[in-house]
Amino acid sequence: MKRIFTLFVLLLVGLTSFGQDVTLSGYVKDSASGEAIIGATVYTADLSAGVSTNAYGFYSLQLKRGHQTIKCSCMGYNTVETELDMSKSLSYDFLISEDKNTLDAATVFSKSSREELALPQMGRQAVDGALIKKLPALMGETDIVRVIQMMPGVQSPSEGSTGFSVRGGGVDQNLIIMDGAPLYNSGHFLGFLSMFNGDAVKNADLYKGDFPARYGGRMSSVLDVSTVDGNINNFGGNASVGLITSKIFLEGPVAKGKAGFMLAARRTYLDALMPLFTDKLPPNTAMYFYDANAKLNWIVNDKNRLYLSAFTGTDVFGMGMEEFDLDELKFTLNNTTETLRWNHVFSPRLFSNITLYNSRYGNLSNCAMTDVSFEYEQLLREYGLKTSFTWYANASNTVEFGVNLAGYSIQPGQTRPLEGSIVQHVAMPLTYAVQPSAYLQNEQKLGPVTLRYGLRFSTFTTTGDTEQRIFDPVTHELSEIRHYGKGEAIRTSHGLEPRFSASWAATDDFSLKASYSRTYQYIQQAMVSISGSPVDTWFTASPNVEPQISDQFSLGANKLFCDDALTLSAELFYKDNSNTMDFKDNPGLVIDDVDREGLLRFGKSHAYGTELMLKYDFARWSGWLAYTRSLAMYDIPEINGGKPYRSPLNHENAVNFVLTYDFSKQWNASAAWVYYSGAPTTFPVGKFKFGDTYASIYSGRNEDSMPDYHRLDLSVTYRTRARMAGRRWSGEWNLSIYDAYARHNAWSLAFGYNRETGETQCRKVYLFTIIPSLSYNIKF
Amino acid sequence: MLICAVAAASCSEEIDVKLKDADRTYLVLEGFLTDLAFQPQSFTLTESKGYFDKEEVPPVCGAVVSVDDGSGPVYYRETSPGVYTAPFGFHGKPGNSYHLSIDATVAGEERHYEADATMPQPGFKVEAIDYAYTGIMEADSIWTISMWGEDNPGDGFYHASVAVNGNSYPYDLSLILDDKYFAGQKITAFPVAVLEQTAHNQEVYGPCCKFLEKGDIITFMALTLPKGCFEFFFSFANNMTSSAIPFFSSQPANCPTNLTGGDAMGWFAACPVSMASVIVDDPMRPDYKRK
Repeated sequence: MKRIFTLFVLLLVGLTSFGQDVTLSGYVKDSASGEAIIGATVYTADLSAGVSTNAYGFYSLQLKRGHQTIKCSCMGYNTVETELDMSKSLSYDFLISEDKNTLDAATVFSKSSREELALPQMGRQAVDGALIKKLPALMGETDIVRVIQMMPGVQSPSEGSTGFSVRGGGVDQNLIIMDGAPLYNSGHFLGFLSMFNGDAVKNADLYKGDFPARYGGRMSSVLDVSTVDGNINNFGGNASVGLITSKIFLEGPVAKGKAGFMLAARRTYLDALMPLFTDKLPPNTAMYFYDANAKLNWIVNDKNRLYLSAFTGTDVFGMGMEEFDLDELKFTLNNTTETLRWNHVFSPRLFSNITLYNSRYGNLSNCAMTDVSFEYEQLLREYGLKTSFTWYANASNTVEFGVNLAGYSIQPGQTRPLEGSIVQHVAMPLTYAVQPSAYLQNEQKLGPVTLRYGLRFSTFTTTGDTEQRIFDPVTHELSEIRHYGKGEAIRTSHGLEPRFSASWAATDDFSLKASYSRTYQYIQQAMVSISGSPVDTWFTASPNVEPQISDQFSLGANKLFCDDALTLSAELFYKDNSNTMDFKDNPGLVIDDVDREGLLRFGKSHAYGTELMLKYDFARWSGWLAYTRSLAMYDIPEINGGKPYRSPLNHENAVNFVLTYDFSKQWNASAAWVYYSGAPTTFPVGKFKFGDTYASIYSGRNEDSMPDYHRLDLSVTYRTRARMAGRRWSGEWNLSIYDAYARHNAWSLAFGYNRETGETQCRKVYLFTIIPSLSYNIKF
Repeated sequence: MLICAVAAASCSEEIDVKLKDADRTYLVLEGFLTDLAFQPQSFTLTESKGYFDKEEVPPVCGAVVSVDDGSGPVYYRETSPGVYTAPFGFHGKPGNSYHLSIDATVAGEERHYEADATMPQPGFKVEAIDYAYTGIMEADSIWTISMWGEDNPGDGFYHASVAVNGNSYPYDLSLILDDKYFAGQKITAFPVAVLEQTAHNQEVYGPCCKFLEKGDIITFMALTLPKGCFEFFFSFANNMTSSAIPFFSSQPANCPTNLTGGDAMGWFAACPVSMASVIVDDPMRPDYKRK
């Protein structure tokens, strides 16, 4: 590790020896709304120098002195070109206008493919609004998490799951950030829609392994979502009414040209409509969610900008079950975040951002049953300060560095009796932790080779005021309960996380890439069931739990064909993880167990795979075909008799096929087909009789597979003529069909002994079948 | 269609699943060694079957079963096919250790099994039980049985079972308890069973589910289990229902066993028993007599 560090310092020292040119810096904005544009490219007409705008639309480009033709382009926008006299450093904002003629967007898309080719970034999927809008809309809305789940290497753990699994990793191993604040629950119930309202999302980047040094804390992926800042010039918005969801989006200036706001809200009302379809609704059925985004942005002056964002999302899902004498079983989940961000431009070459954030996640389960009514609550709060700096050192080097400090307070779970109940009040001890970290990274261009190397240092300390239960590492019996006072350190873990990636643009349409990254994860979930339970608990590193460490290696190649309309990419990855945890065999219902850390067992895990993707973007049709072959194994000596077993989250073969077709400017159709080989699971092989009841005998864990999963989604969109003419009031109809050929994909297989027939049987439980929906969207 | 998406539990259908062949046959041991001097001590030995096999599990006959308390083996006699009973008067004592030995032919193969057990001190004293009629729910007749007693300090794991006129409620309706939340406390009116006494249940579960009448005797037994045996019952409870109830079910795994020498299911345990009975006087009384 010391050697890596020395090398790193030497490389950075080298930066100062480069020649000093002039700097062109500024922002790229939408000409109509003033919205900062992320990922736009500013480059010289001769392609000798270029740079992408950062998450705030800022760019800084080192140029040779003299007259220069500078271009600015971005997918979905018209490219602009300007002549600049670069005899001295200059600040210049590009205003680019939306490309209304969507049929011509193909050329822009190809342009961005060409840039992707040269970036030293692997396993990154940029998901921008324009691409999202082309895909099949379900319930009138295309959701970014649904789009992400169509990418190679990304899978839905099970139908109806609200999270996603990246390269065989756990749902808890995804760092999901919205405007700088982490979200602990990214999806609404049943998994149709994520917490990300399509209207409010400006940009999303998914990193599958080769993480820039600024990200840390999760091993499998980073999903970084930026919301719309809000139009600083004109008021506008849209509203949509659907069978299941309605939503509204508003934006406008607070001070014209200086400050703007954005408000977006959605509400589903399935439960209100359901009595129209059936009179056999279970008692106390509740099923709805709502979410809201709000944002203010203020351009204080050329050098300073402020952003204030807030988000709240709540799901309520419940029903009574008479057959179990259950009056009501209701889950309520809420995730709320607030972020204050301050951009400061120290100099044309030094950009900084300070983020202050707060994120709260809570879930409450209510169980109303004669004598044993209770509520169960979990709360998790993360808050922190992140500082980040980007130094555009010279034309070849861009340095990023920063310091972060995060704090956590967690109530892992408490059970409270409701009135008249015999249930006892049980509260898990609270967990507090602080996590300081720092990072330094340089991106260096050396002719056709681009390198990115960085180092992140992170520490994690759990503190009092709490009672720490300590378990014997061999017998797993409770050995001690120790009380720690407020702020007193219980345990500190730390780690150095080197990151490295390189790309070589062999020709202008072919590149090769390689990367290595190490990540530490100090806060993690052990899943009770693979579908993810609303009561899954977060565990922090503690005297009983080591932080997880992941080393990931990847190799990749990209090639453009057919005038850049086709992009073929291939990636190989290998992940080696230590301190992987899982619950022991037969842990029972762990939600009310104060000793649940003693139920965990630790070992190693690894995953490897190949991801192939063919992206096509022709004049009328576009989309992609992706194939993933991967394997993910756990090796935990005290589970499954010491035999390694397959991860239940990894579908070994996956195919994603997306096709969109523009019949005309008004009519657009799209289709998406997904195929997963069945998830690893455990079936019984035998049965034994005890008393007069049968119980199952199993072979090894996850040696069997669920039935294969496949599904086709279709959608048709019709834009009214007014919409096409860009008039102030315009409409759009969308008809979508989920699971068009009505396949009953298995959610679970329930094996059991039926006393009444005296036979053992297997029943397939499925969640969904064909679901059509219609929505109307009005823009004003 | 929408409703199907929502009322998830109602969307299920029979499916043909090809299971791997059960290439191993397990010896299944059922029964406890208790401290009850007046009750015969017995074990039942059976073989396991393939999951979808329709035939009854075969009893293991002609086995040699013995329990040694340190003073020499006591041989159990096969009193009916697969049921092995100790000589009358033989019973366990708290604090003593026992060694079980079984020589049996399982799936045509000679096997020798062994297991050790120590009888824990009784962790719980049942003082009394009482019943109350809790009304009719969808034509089911429901009685709640509650218990009065005292838990001893220290860890305790229990198997609680109810019998009506000597007919035991089956395992899938009995309770296993960890005293984590009531260790060392006096317990009053703690509900231990909800009896659903209906014709339908009587058909499925037998005479234990008969409609309660004056003169019926309800018996409650609490066995203090060693921790390993508790874990066996805990996983047995998981494995007898469904293999996967999403959201709450853990990943399926076999029940643990303390039998060595070959594939086996079951747990050899020596358990002290505390019990109490109540005679039904007024079946329809809605309140407990005991406070």
